[in-house]
Amino acid sequence: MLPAAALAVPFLPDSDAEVLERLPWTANDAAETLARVRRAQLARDPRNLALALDAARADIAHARAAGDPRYLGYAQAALAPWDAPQPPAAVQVLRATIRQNLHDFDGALDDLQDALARDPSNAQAWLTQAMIQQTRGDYAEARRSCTRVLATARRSASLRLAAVTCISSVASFAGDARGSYATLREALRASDGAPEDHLWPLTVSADIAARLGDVAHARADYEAALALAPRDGVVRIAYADLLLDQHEPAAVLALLDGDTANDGALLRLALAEDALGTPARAAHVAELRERFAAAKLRGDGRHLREEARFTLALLHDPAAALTLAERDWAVQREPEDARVLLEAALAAGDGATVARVRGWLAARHVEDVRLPTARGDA
Amino acid sequence: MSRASVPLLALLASIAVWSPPAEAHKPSDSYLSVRLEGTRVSGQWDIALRDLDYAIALDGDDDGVLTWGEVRAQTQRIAGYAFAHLALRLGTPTCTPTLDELLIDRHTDGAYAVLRFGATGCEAAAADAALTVTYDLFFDVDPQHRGLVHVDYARPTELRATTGYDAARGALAAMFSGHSDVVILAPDRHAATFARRAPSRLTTVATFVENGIWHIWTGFDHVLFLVSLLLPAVARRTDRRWHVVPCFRDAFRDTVRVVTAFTVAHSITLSAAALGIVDLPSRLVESAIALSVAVAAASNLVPLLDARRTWQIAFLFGLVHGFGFASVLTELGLGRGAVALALVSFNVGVEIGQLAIVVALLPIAFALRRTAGFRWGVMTAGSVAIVVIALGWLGERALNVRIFS
Repeated sequence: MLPAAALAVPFLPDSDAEVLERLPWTANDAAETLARVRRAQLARDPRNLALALDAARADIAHARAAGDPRYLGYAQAALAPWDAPQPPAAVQVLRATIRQNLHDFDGALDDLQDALARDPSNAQAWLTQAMIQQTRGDYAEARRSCTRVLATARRSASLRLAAVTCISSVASFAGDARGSYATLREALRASDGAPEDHLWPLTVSADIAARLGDVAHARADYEAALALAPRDGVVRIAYADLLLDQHEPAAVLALLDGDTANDGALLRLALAEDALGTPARAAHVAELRERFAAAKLRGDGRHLREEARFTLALLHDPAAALTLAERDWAVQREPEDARVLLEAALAAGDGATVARVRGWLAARHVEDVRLPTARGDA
Repeated sequence: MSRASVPLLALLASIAVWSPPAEAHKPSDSYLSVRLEGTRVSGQWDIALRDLDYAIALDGDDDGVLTWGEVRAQTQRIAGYAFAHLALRLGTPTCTPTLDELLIDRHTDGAYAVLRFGATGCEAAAADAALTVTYDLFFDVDPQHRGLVHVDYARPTELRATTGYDAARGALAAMFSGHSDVVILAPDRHAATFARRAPSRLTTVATFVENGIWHIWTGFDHVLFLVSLLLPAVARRTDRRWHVVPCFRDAFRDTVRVVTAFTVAHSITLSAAALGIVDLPSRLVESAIALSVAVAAASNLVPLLDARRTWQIAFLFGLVHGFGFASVLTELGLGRGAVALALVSFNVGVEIGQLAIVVALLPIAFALRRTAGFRWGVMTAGSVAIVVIALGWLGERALNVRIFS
């Protein structure tokens, strides 16, 4: 049956003036106006490839920055006329990106492999493939993909920076965090590319610094990234995690600024409120519980890592958290995934899992000071 | 956390308390719940206002805010759009959904239009026809949209409430009603068929045995009737003198004989009535049950009944009590085989329930049978109380008024 939250008590609003919903779009928003013009054109001319690619790219970017997955569906709709096993390479790369965002990594890699077989110079495809391989912990393959980006990057400064970021990122996981950090900093310093080209390198640089325990540099990099994209949800959430680890929950509240629409941001907010003992915690925990229930109902597995962390840190249920973290680990293997799995396994007293995950990390020389130590003092 | 930061934190906290969480960013889902009562189809469909606006532009003044006035004014547009993307078939006939009312509900990701609907056109379907839901709402504008569908099953007729049998009736109705699992409909799986829910044999046996037991335990009239018949097995008053039964085995044997006679008789009439061989009005049956309790208790004060023939009396009364439950089974519309299984199971439950009471009460009664407290407090005062209560029931049931409420 549908959970109580999904079917609460419907009501008849009191008056016509009652506001029911604030839409995420309004007429006087420039990006929205552009998007509407594109959609209207696409409605008349649905097989206009350039237009469809533009629309899909804009929707994917919005989905990522706002943490709003509905835009992934809108992007997919724009590409629907080419929904065939082998669409044009550009469509297939975007389809892979959508699948990546939906955590359908197998589907995304199939698409990328196919697109790259036809267009081996597609740097975006190599980058996306590298990041998926990195997410899965396939660092050797990821490094090969990054190298292909570098090979295609000769004439473009921004592609060169992307290639270096890609290589540094992968190498930082696979035993050379300090060296890759230096390389990436140097590339950033030497880059005269557009400021928006710096957003991803800065985020990666901040992440490496955080894993090295270099809090001051991580903080500076996140601040620099936020200066470029103040409302970027991905950057904010990563920064919030750093602040939570530094026991600065009040700073997390200030940073996230009530951005409760984004599930990831709401989780960090609730964790900060938990640390502060503020009364809003209860409402936010209840809200998260409902959201995870709604995601589960539709079979949406994108949140397993977040849900595992929520279940462990806020519901204090190590056994349930361990189950979720294991399911997450089967899909993706970033240090954050290892961390929640280790923490849950330690809390649940599951030594075999702790040993297995530590073995996996050690074999790849993953460095991360935030991972619970051998003594288990997470 | 330093001391100096406390006032700031308190301020932040108070702000947070007054601002509810913003609406979640989640993939688009609609929640469709279809209710099936016989061939009557109705339902409720929750669709996000945000999704409706994206598809058919509800925000007339384009200010980014949807008011109830804007939504209400477009009720027919919303219903027309939604129902054009939903097909319900009951067996072969197609049911056409019609909007009963439009309400609003809040989900984690915002306000939803709640379409409560009935459906016409499928009344001629077979009683056991399966429901097929075909769904393509929003798939053109958002292929990640999902329709989350489930079906509620209810028995076609409201089971008549009759004194003393409501709990058992409710449990039985629950057994034959229920809900399907949630089925997730997507562009690559946009239809689902929901077969009618039929309980398994094991469920039938378990449910009816349990109900037989509770039928006895929660039926106050049954318990009092049983107690009235059980007491004289250990001590009875004849010719103005108390006679106690010397041997527990004799008392136990007499009681089991009484109880079993009751069950056998109960089975006979229950079966006859459930299979439609006899059909007595429930008011008459219920009144007769009340009368039987009064007579059984009165017999402990003034020997109305022959003590050695108590089991025959129990058999007679059992016949009456059996009718009390029979109508439920016919109302459930079970198949013949299922009725037989249900009847046997129910009577086994009745016997278990009665024997449990005997096993619990008889040793106590036997131990106390020589005491004055038992003779006057239990046998005499207790029987008087039972007579009074039973006559009250008789009045209630025969005249259809409420005395005890």
